[in-house]
Amino acid sequence: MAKRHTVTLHHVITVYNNMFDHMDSMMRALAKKKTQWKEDLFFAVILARHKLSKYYTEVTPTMGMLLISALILDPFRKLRSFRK
Amino acid sequence: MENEYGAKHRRAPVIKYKKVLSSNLVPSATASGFYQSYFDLYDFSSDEEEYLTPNNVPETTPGRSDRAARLLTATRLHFNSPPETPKNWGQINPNLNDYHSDPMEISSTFWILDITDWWPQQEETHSKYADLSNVARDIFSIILHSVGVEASFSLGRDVIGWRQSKTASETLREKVVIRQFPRANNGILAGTDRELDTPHTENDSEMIKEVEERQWHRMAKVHDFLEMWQGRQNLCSTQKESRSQNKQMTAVGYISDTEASVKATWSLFQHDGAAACKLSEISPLPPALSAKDLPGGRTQILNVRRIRRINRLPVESDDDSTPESISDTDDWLNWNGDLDNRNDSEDDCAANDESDIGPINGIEDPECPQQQKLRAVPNVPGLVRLTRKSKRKAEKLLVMVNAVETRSNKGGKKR
Repeated sequence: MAKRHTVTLHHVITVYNNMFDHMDSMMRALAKKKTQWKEDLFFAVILARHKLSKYYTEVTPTMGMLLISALILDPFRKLRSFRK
Repeated sequence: MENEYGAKHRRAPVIKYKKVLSSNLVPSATASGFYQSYFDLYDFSSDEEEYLTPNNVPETTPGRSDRAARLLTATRLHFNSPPETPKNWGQINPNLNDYHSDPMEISSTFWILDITDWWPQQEETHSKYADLSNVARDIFSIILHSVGVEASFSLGRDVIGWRQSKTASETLREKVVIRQFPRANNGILAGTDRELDTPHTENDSEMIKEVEERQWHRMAKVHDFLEMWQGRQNLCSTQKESRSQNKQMTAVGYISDTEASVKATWSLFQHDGAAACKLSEISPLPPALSAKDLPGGRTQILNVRRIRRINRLPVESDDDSTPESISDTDDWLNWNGDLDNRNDSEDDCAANDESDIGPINGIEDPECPQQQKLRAVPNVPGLVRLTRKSKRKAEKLLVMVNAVETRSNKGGKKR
């Protein structure tokens, strides 16, 4: 996203939400698996989600309102992302 | 840029559609006006990825069934339909959150332009969102980058480079705290705002007191200097007044008074004459170790002189000189330090003459012509040159020693 030459500010929250959703779904799928590599993958996903949440908490206090405003000003989404 | 970008990102063929003005139920490929382009799966620069995912891409491969073609045309018609115009267009109240209640752009998916084109278009057409476009322009002008996010987790690398490896962890922590303090307090540096400062400890209060005392001490010094300067001025003025009134008044210390200066110079600096020369003969030792205080009136300086002469002579000297050296030590031990009563010096000279020992210390008598002839011989300290007489004595001594040894050997055998 940082290398794009167009406006990408309104995609930040969307990308974060998609990544969190994807990790949650992976964790739900791998939670009851007993295979070794699946357990390892489950542990790796947990760590990745923890790291992502750490990044998210670093970003949102300073740029939270800005990102939300950009997302609302996206005329093709508007408040649709918040309705979910 | 495009080649690099294409090499990094995987592309999938996508069919884009142009706006179809005519409503053909069975559109042909040319009528529908679609053209093939490429869609980047990881490109989020536009909103098309949400609607142009591979699942939504209509298959244009020939050989499909008619059912699929009908569904495809129905889908195209749905997407290419013009936006619904609100019936109460002229009655829109901008205070009633019309931006969110307007479903115009959301429903027309494929009619969407890029967000960078949509808001300028609203501004150019003077639509109802013209004012909102200014806000959008201000917000979307912010360029997104991930440097700040990553830098928040790598503050230590900003402080210490890769080539700096001996900095302690405590130093690193202090540097990071100092750099982050103004950021967290809106650019206020530490110490400028008392409310942000940490409470002072006892050591800090003591240091502050010391600094204040130093300042007061400096002020006192300046004050004293001013008082001294003022006092000096007053003294000069009083001296001038007294001089004009009475020249004899010199007790204050007026230097230009000639009578007082003459008396002071010649009365205080009168020398003692011969008594001053005697002061130079006094021993440099401290008064506690002077000749008068020592028992017997002996001095250590003269003792050292005597010891040097004793150590050179006894081993290589003749039989006559050895007891004299011992007598020297006796004299040295019992000598009272009187320089005028040195009779042993004459004995030494006589002993040297009897033993025929040359000048050993390099001291030459200018009145003796024999010593002047021997100047070519190097003067080695401690060197003893044997004469005929001394050789004879040495031979006699050896004979006597051998005789004593033979007698002792015979006596031992008899026993």
